[in-house]
Amino acid sequence: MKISKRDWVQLSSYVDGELNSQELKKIEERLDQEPGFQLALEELRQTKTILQQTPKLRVPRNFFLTPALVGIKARHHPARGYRLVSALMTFLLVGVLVIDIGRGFINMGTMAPAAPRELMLEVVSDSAAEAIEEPALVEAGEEMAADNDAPETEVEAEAREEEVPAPALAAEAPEEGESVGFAEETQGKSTGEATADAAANQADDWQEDEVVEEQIIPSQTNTPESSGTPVPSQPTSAYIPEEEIHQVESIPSIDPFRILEVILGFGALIFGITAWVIRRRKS
Amino acid sequence: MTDLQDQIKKSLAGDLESFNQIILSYQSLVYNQAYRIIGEPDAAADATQEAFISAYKKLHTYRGGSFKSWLLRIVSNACYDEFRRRKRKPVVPLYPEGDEGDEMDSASWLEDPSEKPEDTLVRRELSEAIQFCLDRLEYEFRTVVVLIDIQGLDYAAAAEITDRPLGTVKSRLARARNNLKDCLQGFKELLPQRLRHVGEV
Repeated sequence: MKISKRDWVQLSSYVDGELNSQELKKIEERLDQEPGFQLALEELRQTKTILQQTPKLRVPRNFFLTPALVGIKARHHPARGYRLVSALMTFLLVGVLVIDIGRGFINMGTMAPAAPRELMLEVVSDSAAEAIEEPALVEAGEEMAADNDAPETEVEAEAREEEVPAPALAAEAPEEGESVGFAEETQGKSTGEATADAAANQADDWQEDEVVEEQIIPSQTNTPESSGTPVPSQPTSAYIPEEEIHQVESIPSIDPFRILEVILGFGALIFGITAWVIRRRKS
Repeated sequence: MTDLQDQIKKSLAGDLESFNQIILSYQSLVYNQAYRIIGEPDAAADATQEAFISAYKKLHTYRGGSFKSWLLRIVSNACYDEFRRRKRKPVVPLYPEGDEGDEMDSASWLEDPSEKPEDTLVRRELSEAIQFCLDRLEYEFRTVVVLIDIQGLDYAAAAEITDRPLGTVKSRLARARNNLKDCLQGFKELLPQRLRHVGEV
């Protein structure tokens, strides 16, 4: 018996119960009348049964998706940034500490001994003491010059004394006024010239009076040392600029490396704690 | 709200872990569909992975109804792409072979460790015989018969998945069964006892 393609479709649908009532009636009539039709039906049912018993295969692996597979960018953990900054600041802190320690070793090797500074202070104090004694020496020198030189007239002596503060007058002259100062300047100039001559005379007098000074000082001071013992030679005064004096007395500045170390240390600590807190909250 | 609907909702919100739970429930169905259509384990795995990736990206197109049917449609498309790709480059044998040319055992064939060895052998030989006959069908007929007879879907679902009219599905199914019938007759000794004598008048 030959079965057409349409018959096969009808039989296949009949096996699955997919025929409408009209088609179902026709098929059942043919099944009752045609044994071959019945055989074909049985073969189709067998085939369907075999296929329904097809063994289920186990999956070779799990087919889970990852963000990379679906093109999702991984979200960075917020704590990660804080940890990175904390680590970076710690690294920088270590570097600054190493540089600071190395700088300290270098300074220790090239640093001058402390004794010269003490000597400098001693010289400063000595020169300050000498500066106080100078007016007395000047006066003594003047007295000696007056005794040794030709007697001066009283006018000349008064003029010399007045000439001593002339530079001060000349310096004050411009403050009073131009017209007035001009007159006084001219006056100061002429007096200044006389002062320069007087200063030169004073320098000569001082040199001549070195021996006299040594003789005068013990009588003026009246110290036990000056009674019988020889006076030790005074150390020569060294000129100390005012800037250095003020520098010694000034407050030391804060090392910038210390500031940097403090900032980096606190920064690393704060960021590290923040990252830890965020991770704890996340978990 | 069912677990599946809840998982779909979370997956649409971007929760990949929820979608992986869906994969865990349906990966056996999808892999078997892919393997029976393509006939090769590695290609079936690739198609399965591609199908799930596509399903995740197109999850917003699921409008309700049978999620199984919706998923199998995506699988069928992925299998068709893989099938066409392998058709252009037919190099892979049906089953991996060893150095001596004999077939290598694959873990996918060992379904149940607790099963008796003779039962496992019978099931394995039956599976191979069925696959052997499926591979001789044209792609369109193979897809329909796998959907209806192996996966258990009805005609309407198969028509929706394959995007073909109902009459076309009926016709392709009938033709596929007829061809399989003749092929499976050669493996009669592998069939269960109760199925061996059917057809003998």
